[in-house]
Amino acid sequence: MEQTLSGCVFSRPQRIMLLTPDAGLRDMLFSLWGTGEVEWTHYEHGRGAIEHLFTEPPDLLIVDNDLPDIKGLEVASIVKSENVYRQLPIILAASEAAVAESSWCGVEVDDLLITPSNPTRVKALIFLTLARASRSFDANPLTRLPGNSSIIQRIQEMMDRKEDFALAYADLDFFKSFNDKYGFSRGDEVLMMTARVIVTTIRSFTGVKSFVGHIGGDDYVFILPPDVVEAACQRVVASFDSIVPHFYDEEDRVRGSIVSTDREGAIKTFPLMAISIAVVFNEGGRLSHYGQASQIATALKKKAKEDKKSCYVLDSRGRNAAREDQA
Amino acid sequence: MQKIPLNLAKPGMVLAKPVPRQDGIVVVASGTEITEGLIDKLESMEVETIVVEGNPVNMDGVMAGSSYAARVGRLDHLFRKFPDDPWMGRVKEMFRGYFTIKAASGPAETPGETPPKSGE
Amino acid sequence: MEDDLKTERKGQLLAVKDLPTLPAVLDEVSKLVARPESTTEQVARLISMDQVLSAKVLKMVNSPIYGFPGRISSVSHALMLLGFNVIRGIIVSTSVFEVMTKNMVGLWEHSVATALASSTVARACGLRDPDEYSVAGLLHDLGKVVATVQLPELKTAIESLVKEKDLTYLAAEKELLGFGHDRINAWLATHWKLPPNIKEGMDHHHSPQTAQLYPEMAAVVHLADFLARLYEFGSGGDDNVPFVQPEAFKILKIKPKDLEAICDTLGERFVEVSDLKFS
Repeated sequence: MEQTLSGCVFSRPQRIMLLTPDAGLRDMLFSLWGTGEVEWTHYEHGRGAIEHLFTEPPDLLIVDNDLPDIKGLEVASIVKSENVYRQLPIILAASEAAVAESSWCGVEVDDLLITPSNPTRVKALIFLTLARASRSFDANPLTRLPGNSSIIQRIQEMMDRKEDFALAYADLDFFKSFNDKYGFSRGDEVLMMTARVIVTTIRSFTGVKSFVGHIGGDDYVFILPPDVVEAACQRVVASFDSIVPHFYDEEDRVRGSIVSTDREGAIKTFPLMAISIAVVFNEGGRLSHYGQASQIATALKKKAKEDKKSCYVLDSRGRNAAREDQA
Repeated sequence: MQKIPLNLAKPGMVLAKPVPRQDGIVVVASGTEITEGLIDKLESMEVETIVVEGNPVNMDGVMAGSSYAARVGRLDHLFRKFPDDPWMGRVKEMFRGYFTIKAASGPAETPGETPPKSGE
Repeated sequence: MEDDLKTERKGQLLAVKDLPTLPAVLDEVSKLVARPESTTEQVARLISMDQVLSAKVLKMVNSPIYGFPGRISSVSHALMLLGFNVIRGIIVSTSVFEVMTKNMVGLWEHSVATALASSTVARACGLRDPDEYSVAGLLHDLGKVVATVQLPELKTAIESLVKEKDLTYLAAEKELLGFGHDRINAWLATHWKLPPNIKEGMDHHHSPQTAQLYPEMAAVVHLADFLARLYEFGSGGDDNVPFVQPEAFKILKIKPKDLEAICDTLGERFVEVSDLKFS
C-alpha cells in the first residue's frame, strides 16, 4: 500500500499514541511511516498515559490489551466514557486467543489488531481507521454532512493550493417561525430535505470537484467550480421552492404563510420558508484565508435576505476583480 | 383528434400534432393540411402514424378512445352488473348519448370537406 | 375470514422484497438513465408511467432514513431528493416478470389510464397539485401486483373465478383472499410511509364516501377508475365498470354531466399515450 498519509486524506502529520509493553509491536509500527507523516507517542504502561491522553488527545490510540497495570479495554472505556473524547478512534491490539476468550458486550473500541500481524495489514488498518474518523468527526448529527471544522479545513486547503472555486453559503429564511409553529421535529425534516436537495443538485454536476457541508442548524455550505455555481443555485432554489410547501399543513400551504400570535397578542404573519444563497468566488488566488470568504459572504447574505423569496447573490465584484487581475 | 396509420391519410385532413424526425426535430408543424406531396414526404421519412384533427377514419376496435362507435356497443356489457339500478341506468344512458354524438360527429368536424371514405 | 389466516397473508404481502416490472418498461427507463444528457424531468415522466418504479421511488424517498417520511407525493420531487445515483440503483436492482401475461400488460395500461384520468378529473374540479392525484391513480391497483408476486397461486385462482362466475375482480379477491386489493393498498401505504393523501386515494377508491381525511382524493381516483374501465384502456382484471358512488360527485362539487367535458379532454390524452410500449 503505497499511499502516503499526507496528500491523500490528511493535511498534517497524524499523531498516534501507542500503549504497549511489546517492543516488537512498537518497532514494527514505528517503521510503517516516516516522521513527517506520523508523530508517535509511546507508553509501556496504561496509567501514566491516561493523563496525557486527556490533555493532548492524539488522532488515534492503539492500546495493547496486555498492559502490565491495567487492561487495554479498561483504558478504552475510560476514554470513551467522556463525551469530549468519544470521537477519538481506538484500536485494540490483542492475540487471537485473547480475542476468542473476551466478551465483546459493551466494548467500545473502533477496530481490532490481531497480533502477531504483518506490516501490510497493520498499515492499511491504521490508515483506514484514521480516514474513517476524519470523515465522521464533526459530521452533523442530523444530516451526517461534514461540519464546521471540516468545512474550514477544506476551504483553507483549496485556497492554499490556489484552486479556483465558488463557495456558497445557504440558509433558510423564516425557519424559526416554522419551528415555533410546527416544532423541532418537523423543523428537522425540513433540514434533512434541504440537505438532500443541495447534495443531489451539487452531485448532478459530474466530473467536477465539489463539496457539501452543514455548519449547523439551517446553515449549509457548498463548493463548486465558478462556471457552474450559478446553474446550481438556480436548481437548488427551484427544487426547494417546489418541495417545501409540502411540509406545511394544508391551511398554511394554501395561504402561503404562517399566522401566529406573539406574547403580546399581536398577530404576525410569516411567509413560507425560502432559501438564501450567497456565493463568494476565489479565482486567481485572490483570497488566502477562509475568514475573508465568510466576511464577504456575510455582506452578500444581507442583500439576499432583503428578498423574502428564495434567491441567490453572486459576488460579482470578486469575479470582476479576478478577471481584471488576469487581464 | 385521431391517431391513424399513414396509409389511411388522405388529402384534406389536418395534422393535429407536429411530426418529428427520429432525432426529435419537428419537420411538419401541427395545423398543416395534408396533401399528396406531404404524404409522399412522410412515407420517405418512414413515418408510420400521424395524428389528425377530428375523426375522419372509422377504425373499429383498433384502440380505445378512437372508436366511439365501439364504445357505444360495449356499454351494455360493461354495465351488466346493474340491470335494475336506476342510477347506474342513467349514467349508462348519459354515456350512450355522449359516445353516440362523438361517433357521429367525426366526419362533420372538418366542415366544407368531403369526409374521406376509407376503412369502410 | 379467520384472523390468523388474514394476518398470515398480510405478512406475506408486506414481505415483498423486489417488485418486478414489465421488461419493456425497464428497458426504456434503463436506456434513458444511461444517457448522460437525460434530464430529471424526462426520467420522472417515464417513471410516472410505471406503477412499480413509481412505488419504489416513493417508498424510498419516504423512508425514515431520508428524514421526512410521509411528505413526498410526487415522482419529480422524489427524483430531486434521491438523485440520479440512487435512482439508477433502484432501476438496476429492479427485475422483470419472468412470465408475462396479457393480464399484466392490461393492468399496467389500466394504471396509466387511471393516472391520466385522475389528473384530468382533478384539474377539471380545480383541485391543487393534480400530479398527486395522478400518482394515487397510478398506484390504485398496486395491491394486485403485490398479490401476483407474493401469492401467485391465489392470484391464478382469482382470475379463474372471475372468468367462471363472472365476478368482479374485487369480489373474487374477497372470496378467495378474504380481503380486496384496496385493503392490501392500505397495508402497503402504511408500511411504506406514503403520504396520507396518496394512501387514502389508494385504499378508498372503491368507497370514497367512507374516506375521512382526503375525500377528494378518494373520489377522484374512484371516478378515474370508472372512466378508465369505461374506455377499456387496459384492464383492471375484469370487464365491468364499478358502481359509481353518487357521493363522489357531491364531494367534488360536480354533476354527472360534467364528466362529458372531462371525457373530451381524456379522450385526447388517451390518444397521446396510445403508443406507450408495455409489451
